[in-house]
Amino acid sequence: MTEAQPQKLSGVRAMWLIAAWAVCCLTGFGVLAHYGNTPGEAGAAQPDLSTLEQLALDETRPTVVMFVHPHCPCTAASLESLARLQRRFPDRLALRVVFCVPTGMEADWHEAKLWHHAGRLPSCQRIVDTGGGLCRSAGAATSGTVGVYDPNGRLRFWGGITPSRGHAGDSPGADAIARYLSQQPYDERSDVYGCPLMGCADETCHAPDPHHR
Amino acid sequence: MHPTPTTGSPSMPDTNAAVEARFKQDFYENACRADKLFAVLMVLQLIAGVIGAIALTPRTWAGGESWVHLHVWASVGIGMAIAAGPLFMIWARPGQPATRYTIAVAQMLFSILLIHISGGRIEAHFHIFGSLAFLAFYRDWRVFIPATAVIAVDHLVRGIFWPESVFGVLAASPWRAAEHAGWVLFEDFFLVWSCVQSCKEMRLIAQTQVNLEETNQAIEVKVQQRTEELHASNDALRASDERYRLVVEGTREAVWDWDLTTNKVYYAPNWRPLLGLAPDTEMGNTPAAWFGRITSSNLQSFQGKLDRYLKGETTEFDIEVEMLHEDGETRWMLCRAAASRDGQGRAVRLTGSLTDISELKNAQNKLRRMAEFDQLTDLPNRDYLHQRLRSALAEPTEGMTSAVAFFDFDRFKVINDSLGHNAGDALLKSIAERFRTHLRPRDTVARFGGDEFVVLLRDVTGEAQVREICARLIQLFAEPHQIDGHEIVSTASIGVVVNDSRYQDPDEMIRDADAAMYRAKSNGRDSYKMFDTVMHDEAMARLNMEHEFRRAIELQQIEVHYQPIVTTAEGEIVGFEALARWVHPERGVINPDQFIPLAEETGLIVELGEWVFKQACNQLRGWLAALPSSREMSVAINVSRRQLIHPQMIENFRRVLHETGVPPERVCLEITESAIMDERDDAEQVIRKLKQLGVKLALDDFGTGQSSLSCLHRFPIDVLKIDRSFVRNLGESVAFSAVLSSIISLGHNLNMRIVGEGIESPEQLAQLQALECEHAQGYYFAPPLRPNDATKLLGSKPAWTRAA
Repeated sequence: MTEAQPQKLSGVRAMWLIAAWAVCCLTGFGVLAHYGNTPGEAGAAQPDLSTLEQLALDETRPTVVMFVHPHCPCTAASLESLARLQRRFPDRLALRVVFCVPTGMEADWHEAKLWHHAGRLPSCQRIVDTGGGLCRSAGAATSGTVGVYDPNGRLRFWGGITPSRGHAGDSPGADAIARYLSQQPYDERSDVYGCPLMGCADETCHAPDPHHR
Repeated sequence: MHPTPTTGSPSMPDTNAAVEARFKQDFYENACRADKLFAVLMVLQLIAGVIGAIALTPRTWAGGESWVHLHVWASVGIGMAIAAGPLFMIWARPGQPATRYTIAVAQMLFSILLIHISGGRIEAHFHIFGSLAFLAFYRDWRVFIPATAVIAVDHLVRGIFWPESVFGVLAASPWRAAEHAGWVLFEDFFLVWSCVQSCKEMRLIAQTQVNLEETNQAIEVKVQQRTEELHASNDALRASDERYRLVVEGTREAVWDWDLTTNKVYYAPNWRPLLGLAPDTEMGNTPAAWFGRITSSNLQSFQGKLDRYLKGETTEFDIEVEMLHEDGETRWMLCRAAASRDGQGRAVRLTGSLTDISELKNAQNKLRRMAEFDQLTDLPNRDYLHQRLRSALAEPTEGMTSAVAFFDFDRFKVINDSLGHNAGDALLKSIAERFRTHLRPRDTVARFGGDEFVVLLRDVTGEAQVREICARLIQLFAEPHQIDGHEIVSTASIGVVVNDSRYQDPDEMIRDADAAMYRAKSNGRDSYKMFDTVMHDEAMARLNMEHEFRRAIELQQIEVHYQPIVTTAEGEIVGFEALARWVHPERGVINPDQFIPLAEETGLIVELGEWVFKQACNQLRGWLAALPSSREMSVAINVSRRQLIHPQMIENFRRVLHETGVPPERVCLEITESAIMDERDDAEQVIRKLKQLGVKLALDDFGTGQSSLSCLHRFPIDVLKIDRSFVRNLGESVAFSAVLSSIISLGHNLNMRIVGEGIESPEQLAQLQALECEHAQGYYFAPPLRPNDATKLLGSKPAWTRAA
């Protein structure tokens, strides 16, 4: 059905323009994909946090600790994945979400959406890490970083639990935790996607994690 | 069921092409509408994407620092890039397939973008299905191909490299891919099906529209035709109205239109001048304005005729009526009308005109008066008398009768000749005036011609009253008239006939009155004579004779006899006078004095005269052939007055002379003095023409009439025939001899031969011899003889020769 109405652009030129347009679009998508799939800084994970009382690791079951930037939009997906893990293993893990608050922030700066989101997780203990000391102690550098500690306080897993930036769903990290909880072989590290917990203006700008894959 | 145009229906291929064109047009317009919808949608999606990005990922953080999230920039940048392509195509190539394919691709790219910036939320995936559904607005199933292809490629690429971002699982699964593809194809199937059905419906609508358009075109054509017809009809109606108006205003006739159902009458403006009304006079609209002006004497007949016409008993309506004019006089109007009738033949409308025919009527009356009245005396003429007499005979009054008196005034001719025509006319006027003043109003007097008048006496009791009236009229006309200082007496001879119920024809009654008048005149003037049975019988006998005479000519019962003309000196026959004899099979030989007047009255004298002339010439030719050439021999033939004035007589005689070869000088035509004197002017010319033929002319019966000496010298007479009355009285008086001697001398002095007629004795012959009359004719010598006897006589030596 070719309509014979007068056109402002010939078919050939239109094809060229469409092609150019498609290239532009694909380029944009490429950039976006690159951004979404570029992992954040893994940080220098501390293998043993048994002495870190602030975390109050559970002594009877593994404790899953997530380090969160209170305003990182990508971390919502991480909390979602964390919730799925909890639903999958309801009594076999303890949850701790550490909200890293840089120095100088207002007192309630951390009480954003993620704070409330984490509050809705059953038995989840929210910890405000004012000044980011706890995060630095644990070695977390990117929001959404999850550390899984056994009842002895030893680090069993370290990394993100989203497949990409801001995306919920199955991910190698979540899968590794599930396998750990199921006592199956698993990867102890995974990429983490999220905002840096500390800015370069802070004194805690970290060097790249030597363990990052 | 689509309506089918009745006229101007295109053929089926044309219809299919029109349907296809309509469908394409509709499809294109639908695509353009969908383009616009998607243009709006693109903008809205762009805005929604940005809002969504801001809502979900407004900023990205690094510790206490933050900046705008890349998703926000991506939603703006990539979203604009995605929207730019379709928007440009919508502007550059609206409604084209490439445009909607671009839109399909862009719509899927938008879905991908939204899914991405929403963090792969399930809800964002609905954008794909919603977009596909939206693309169904194009009703072009092919649009799902690029859309589905984009999704497939996206899922394929991401399924391979980042399966968890597509399927939510860490490992790529063909089954999950198939499931995804199945759902998309599932929707595609319904959407493609929807598009195909929608196109079918669109084609059906196009078919309906085309049919409607064709029907509309046909209706338009019909409406156009009807409109043109209506315009033409309106134009014709306007022209007709204009003509009608011009006719109504321009004609001298007053037009009217009577609606019989409402009894309202339209009177055209011309009514007012016709009736002498002022132009602004209100006529009203009732018939009374019209009928009220018809005179009472005309109204009944008018209404009667109108009723008969309206009932359909007559086919035309026109009547002349008298109507009252505003000046108080009446005018004659001719009223004509024609009715419009309904299905039952009842008149519902009557339209007509009124014409003033007063002038025509006056002219007719004048003409009728001229036709019915004598111009000189202003008395009715012969025709009018006939009408009145016929009416009197047809409608006699009970116990009364009618009579006709025929008047002939004596001495009128003398007065006319002596005192002139003016005096004669004055005398006639005086006579007419006396009639008018002394007759009863119911009587009618008519001038019949010349000095003849006829009076119709109506409602008379009988003969006695008629006699009394006639006696009074005789007395009246015995009184002298004063004409130009002369005292003139012109008595009347009156013939009267009283209707005794035997008359049906006015001519018969007038004829009998005329006969009675002649009887009165012959009995002595200044008297009246009643027509009686004897006269009736005579008239009947005369009528019978007239009939028989006509038959006699047909049956050749007329013979020519010849009476010798001899010299008085030797008794030698020098000629014969040809005399017609009617040999009646029952009554024997009838003399001319009995049938010649009849022949003259009936006009048969012309035919008879020619026949006699021819017979006589033939006979003369025989005699001339038999006799020695030296012997004198001629034949004399009588010519009547009626013959004399007949225009063909000269030519007939010339022809007979030529045919018979008779020398004209041997033929002598005898003309009576009275014939010459009565037709003096015409006779002179005829006589000179006869002389030019070479024939001799004889003045017959000289001495019985006026014995005009002027006649003798004026006309070229060769022979003078002295009437038998002179000869008969010759021995009784010396004076007769002296007169006869003078006549003979006069004749001789005028170089005429003298023939004495009616010689019956030797004494009479001797006396003529003594008076030197050289020729004689009479029974003494021989009666008129049959041709054979005359021939024998020529060859014998008659006894009179001795006496001569």
